[in-house]
Amino acid sequence: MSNVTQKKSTKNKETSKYNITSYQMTAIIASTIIGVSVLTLPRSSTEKAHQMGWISILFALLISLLGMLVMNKLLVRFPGKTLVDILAELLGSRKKPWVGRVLSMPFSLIYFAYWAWLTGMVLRTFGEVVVTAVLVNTPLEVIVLTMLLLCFSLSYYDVEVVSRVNETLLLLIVIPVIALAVSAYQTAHLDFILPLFSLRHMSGILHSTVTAMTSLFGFEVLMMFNSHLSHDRHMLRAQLIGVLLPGMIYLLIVIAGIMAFGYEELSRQAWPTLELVKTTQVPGLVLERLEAVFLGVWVAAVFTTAGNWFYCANWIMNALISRKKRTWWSSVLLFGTVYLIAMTPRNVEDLFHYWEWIGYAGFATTFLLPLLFLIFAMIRRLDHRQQEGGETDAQAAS
Amino acid sequence: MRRLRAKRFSSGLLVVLLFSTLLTGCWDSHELEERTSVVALAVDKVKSENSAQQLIKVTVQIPIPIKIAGSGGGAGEGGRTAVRVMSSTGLSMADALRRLQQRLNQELFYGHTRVIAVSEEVARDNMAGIIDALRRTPQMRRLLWLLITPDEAVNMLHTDPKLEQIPIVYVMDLIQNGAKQGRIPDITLGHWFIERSSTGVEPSANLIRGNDEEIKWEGLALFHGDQMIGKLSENQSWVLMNIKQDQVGGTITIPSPIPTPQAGASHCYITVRPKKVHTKTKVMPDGDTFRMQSKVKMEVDVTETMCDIDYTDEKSFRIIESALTKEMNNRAKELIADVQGKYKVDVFGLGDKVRGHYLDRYEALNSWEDEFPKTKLEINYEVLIRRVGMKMH
Repeated sequence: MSNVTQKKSTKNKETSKYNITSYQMTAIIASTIIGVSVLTLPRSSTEKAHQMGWISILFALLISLLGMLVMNKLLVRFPGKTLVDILAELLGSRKKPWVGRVLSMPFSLIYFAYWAWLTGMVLRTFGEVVVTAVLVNTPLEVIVLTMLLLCFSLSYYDVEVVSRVNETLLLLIVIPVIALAVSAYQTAHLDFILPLFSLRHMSGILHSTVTAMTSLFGFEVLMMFNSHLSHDRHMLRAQLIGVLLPGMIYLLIVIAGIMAFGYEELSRQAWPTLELVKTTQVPGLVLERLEAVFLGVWVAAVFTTAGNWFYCANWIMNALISRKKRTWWSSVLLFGTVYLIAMTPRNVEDLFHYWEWIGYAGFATTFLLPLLFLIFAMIRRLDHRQQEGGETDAQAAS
Repeated sequence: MRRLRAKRFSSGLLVVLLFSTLLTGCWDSHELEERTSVVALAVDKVKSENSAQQLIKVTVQIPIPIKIAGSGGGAGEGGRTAVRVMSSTGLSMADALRRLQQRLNQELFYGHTRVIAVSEEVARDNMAGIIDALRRTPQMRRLLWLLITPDEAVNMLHTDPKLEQIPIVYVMDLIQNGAKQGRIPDITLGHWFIERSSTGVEPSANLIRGNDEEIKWEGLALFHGDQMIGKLSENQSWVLMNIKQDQVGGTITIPSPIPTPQAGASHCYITVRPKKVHTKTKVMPDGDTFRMQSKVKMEVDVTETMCDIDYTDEKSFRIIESALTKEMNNRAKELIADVQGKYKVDVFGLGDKVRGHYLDRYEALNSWEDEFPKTKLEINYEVLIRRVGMKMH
């Protein structure tokens, strides 16, 4: 009997909303962003920008910070609401709520498809790396399925658990990655990164910026987690740090990659960051080969990325069919869908091609649509700040 | 109650499913004793028996665990008996390795490979195929040593210097310690890859001769793309190391510039050991082309003087220093003559520097390869004697 009451109490907890702390906010954003692209970024960013590839990361980071700011401005207006509710209110009228529901459906579906697709691609990329570099004889399907199973199991928990998982794993990911990136500077060659800037390569840099942006997607999950956010003064700072942290890590890794290899060598490597780790020897460390450490950390990074996106896809699907409580079958359905998506690309080359398309889609979902929503909200003067947070919120936003 | 049971069942099912993640290692689980670790690879070229076709001959050195001291079974042996050397031929490197695998009971494992020796014959022909195979294999470390052998590479794997249990560890240590002390250039496979990829520098590799019981470093092999085109002697290689990596190089011996009244003065040699090298390399445009100026400041210790030289006199320092400077400048001239005049390959990495500082002009060039022979190279040494050891005069 005591078991039942315990269950009841947790249920109460679920209905009484859990508030995400600002550190958890940083963790959710940062660990969603840091994902599979860490491994390919030094190559993809220098492909067109050559030795100035790191500048494109800098540009992408600045644009992403701007995107984060826009998203914050949008979400601050709708405290305690998820994307689906926000859209319904934005596009509907107060008298006829069903109009908003119907009109917002396509947008919500876009986000659902985007997150499901992303999860599939992340899992496939993860599988490809593991199969080519570590577990050569293991079938790709098994690796994808096990990771998918983890995401699947995460999707049955509530937001509190997800936040805590991210909170725990963030440091576990960030500290070793930074340590590895810094120790890679041992083999650095200054000639490879010079000149620092040249106008002749401007078009290449801008082209690479678009590619680099792909690796900074992920903070759009906020639009779902918004329902558990209290928008106080620290929240915006936490969100910006959440974007800044992966950005800085990327910058560190890309510069290390360029200086250690030169862009021409980078262009030949399938997974340059892995090669970077391979050339690095940390003196005095017990492990001579750091790949194992790095890949271990990286698995955690991929899990937080794919897990969060899977969670959001599942969440928005449930919100779309307007269930208050999450259904058990939606995760199962999503599990199958994501698996099929992950198996679609024919080979690695095809996979990278898909990532290019994700870049365009992500640009829309992360930057364009939120900006559009914000403008729409401003025109319609929709702002719920006064009702919940009072004056402090208004001050923080201004 | 039924809902609760359903929930319990599903959570139990999930636990069982999660346990399946533990199975993932199974496809790739290989116990240490279940694989054949290759410690060294040698690549040669042979003529096919029935046709004129050239075949690749790959030789591997495999340690026999039971014969190595410290392992449980029996007393350790060493040298040639502790390893097995096996060869196989094929159309390509991968093909040869596949044929080799057919004759082995366990799977070949390259994670412990420390040395890859390529014969000069193969290198002079084309290394592209070998390098490609090495790049694609995930097990290959980038930090292993790539060596070129003047004669057949197999000899390297058959040598037994007797000082190490596994003969190839001797070769490995020889290079590693040499690199640490600055006598042998620190060129790993990864380093070679990088220089091969970059258009502003041409790769070079250590040239090592291995016969019977002897292993010897003989200088550097120069490459143009994937093809070896020349050699640098020890003295030339040391100058290159001074300029490229600030490494000290080996000892320098010159005849004494100070005339001594002693008998047998013609045999008076002075030997110095470089302690510290600091190089400043500048590139600048020079008319249509470029000029490289390297100023090498070398600090040396005197380790031996065969005749009496008074080191309490400041003058003798100056005289020996200028003689050493002259000697090093001559060596540098020889190096430039060979690299720029004879082989026409940019081993200095001058192209990378030009690209770094004069990108616009670099990109306006047809190709750096054609430009390099026209550039003006200057290497100026400044040798300073810092210490003379424990004896004054």
